[in-house]
Amino acid sequence: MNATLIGRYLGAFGLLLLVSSPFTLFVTSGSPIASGVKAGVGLVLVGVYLATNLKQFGQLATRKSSTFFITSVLTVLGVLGALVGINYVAHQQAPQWDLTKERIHTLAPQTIATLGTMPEKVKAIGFLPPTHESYALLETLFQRYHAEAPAKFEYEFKDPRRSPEMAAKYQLKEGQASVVLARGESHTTLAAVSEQDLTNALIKLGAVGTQRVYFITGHGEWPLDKDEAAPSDPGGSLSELRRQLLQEGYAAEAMYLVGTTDIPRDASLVVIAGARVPYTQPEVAVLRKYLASGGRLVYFTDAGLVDGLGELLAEHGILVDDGVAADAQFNSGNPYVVLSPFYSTHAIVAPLKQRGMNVELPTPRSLTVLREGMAGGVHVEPLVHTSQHGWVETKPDENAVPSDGEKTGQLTLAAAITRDTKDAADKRFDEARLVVVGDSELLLDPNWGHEPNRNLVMNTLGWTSNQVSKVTMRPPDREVSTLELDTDAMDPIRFISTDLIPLSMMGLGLAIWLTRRNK
Amino acid sequence: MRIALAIARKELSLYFTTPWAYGVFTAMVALSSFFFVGLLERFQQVQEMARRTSWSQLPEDFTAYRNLTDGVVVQLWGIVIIITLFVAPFLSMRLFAEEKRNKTFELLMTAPVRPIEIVLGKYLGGVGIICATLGLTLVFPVVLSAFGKADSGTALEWSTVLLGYGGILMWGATCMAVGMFISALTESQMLAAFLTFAVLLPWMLLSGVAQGAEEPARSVLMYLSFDAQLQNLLKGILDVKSFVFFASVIVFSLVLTHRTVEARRWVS
Repeated sequence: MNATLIGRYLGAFGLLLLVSSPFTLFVTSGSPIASGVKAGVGLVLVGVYLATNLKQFGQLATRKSSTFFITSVLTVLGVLGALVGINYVAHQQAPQWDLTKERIHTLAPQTIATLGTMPEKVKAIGFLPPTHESYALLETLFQRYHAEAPAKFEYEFKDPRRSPEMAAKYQLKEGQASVVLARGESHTTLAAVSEQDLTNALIKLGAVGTQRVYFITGHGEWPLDKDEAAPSDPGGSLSELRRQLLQEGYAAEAMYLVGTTDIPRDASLVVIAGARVPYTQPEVAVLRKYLASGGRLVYFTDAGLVDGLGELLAEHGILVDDGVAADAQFNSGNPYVVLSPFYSTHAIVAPLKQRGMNVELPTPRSLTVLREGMAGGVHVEPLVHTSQHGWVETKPDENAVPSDGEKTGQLTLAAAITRDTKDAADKRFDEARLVVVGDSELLLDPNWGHEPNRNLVMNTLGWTSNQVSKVTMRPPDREVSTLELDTDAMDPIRFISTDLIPLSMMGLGLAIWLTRRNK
Repeated sequence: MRIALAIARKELSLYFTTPWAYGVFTAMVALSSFFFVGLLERFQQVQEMARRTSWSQLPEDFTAYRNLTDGVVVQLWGIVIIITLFVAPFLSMRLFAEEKRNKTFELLMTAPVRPIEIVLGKYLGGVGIICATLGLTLVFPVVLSAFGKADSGTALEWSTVLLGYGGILMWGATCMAVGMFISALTESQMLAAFLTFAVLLPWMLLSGVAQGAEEPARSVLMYLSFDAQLQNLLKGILDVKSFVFFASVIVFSLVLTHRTVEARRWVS
């Protein structure tokens, strides 16, 4: 074996060592010394190859093939340069399209609106190491926010182990994935890494003071806490709604009207959710005074509830019909669960209309819009309707078809009311706002996951409390699709995929091998 | 181009009459179906857990299992990509190495065929066989579509499924281009397969390397990583830059192969 040949072997081995040294550093041992030694030995061996095969290189230079060699190198370099250029342009400018049905990889209108209304720059710091499972997800999210508002949203990542002083500054717990959003001197911290959480944190950070929402209690309204739900109905609470309110920068509190003469001045909004015991006259008087001075009220009722607020609602142009609103054309198998794609053009429902989303209202009551007898300056605008085939079923336990004397046609299920209060004494706002929804069950925890309903409720609260950026669409969830397979159905799938198809391929191969062998 | 297509046809007929190709088909289907059944069982377990509690009670990571597309198909495509990493070198190894070993390469070079036509023909043949191999995995979404249920009627989101599949085909075509270049460098098919794997695997793992790097090296490495480029396509985002990247790797590999083939005329 001559030196040239040995040199080639050593050179090949050296190249192998050289190429694999980054993997020693980043993948296998992580030791810079081991990686450096490998690279060094590799370089020496490649050097040995060059030294022992120098003659060949000299020959190459004298042959006509050297022209080919030079043109080849230039061609390859030229192509490489062109491709790098094209990729650079693509990286900077190439478009992306989210082809998923619900556009789950696109920023929700709520996020875009929030970024658009941010008064000053926010810096997001992801406190997690690059090896963390949520790192890529968070980085993608940050990139989308930055691309939407490059001047207002910046981000960086910090490894909490390498930046303990930063972790201490923001009082972060060890081992927990955290995001800190900093705006000027103020900051907020969140542990989750979803778009909804990040946007809610931005809203909170940008909120000037807290929007205080009072839920009136004492008349059998749905409670705010899970613990207060009736034992017979453990899902009968508004804890999910409360959680979402807190995330979006509201403070939600229960309030008794008994013994009060006025709604607190810090109330951004008052909510009545499913009252089932009549309000007393003094309580109604407090609410009347509140609305007359430009207050904001959202009222949810349900079939069969009596709360003594009919007169107050009538003053604001609404009569809540008795019975249950039904619609046999648009329902989910039950005419009393009204599925509606019919909206007005009001700001509350415009995003739902634009996205073609159906709200689903279980056992709602319909509303009649009154023409006279209202207080001055009242303007009523319906929000959600049934189809033309709706009717008010006055005896839901007996039959589920329209009968004589029952109201029929396109029924109103929710309405928004404004009242001019510019001239009111001691006014809170120039305009009172009231939204009446003929269904309170859509607020309950088990129903809170229904995306269109959730947006209807949150938009209602946003519009009524005059927070324009909150009247929008929140990030969607993937549609739930299921695969219910029992053993009888699973077995054929397992047989077909793991047995039949591979064996068929193997059989084909065997047949071809035998055919060729016999030729 | 006519000659290139004729060479591609010949390559394809060679593949389909070789028991070796069916061994590769069998391996691809057997491995992917093994993972498919595993994913299906996992999906059912999580759905059962969600039925007993609620999605909001389950960990954040489980939200992918709300939907068959995310819970099974997107994850299956991720696995198919890894299997392709092992399968493609065995399909590309023979493209030039076999010709060289059988001494038919010189015959081919003396025929009135331009090297570009040889390279394109062989590459198209290789792409055809990898598409056939990967095409076998389409049976799994079809099965899911037949058995799955959703309120909107279609259990699978076919736009996401097919975009992911397009990404896999692009990845397969890239593997074949790199494999063909390496096959053109050697006479040994096994060496060609091993080297192709040795090049593709680290390239695939670049995203892991990038995680330990600082900016701007990190961004560059992430851009060069096959894995990172495929992520958006698998999730349902049509990302033009990913297609540009894969097309660039293919073009560059074809140019290198062309120069290697051409070199046979010049280097004695």
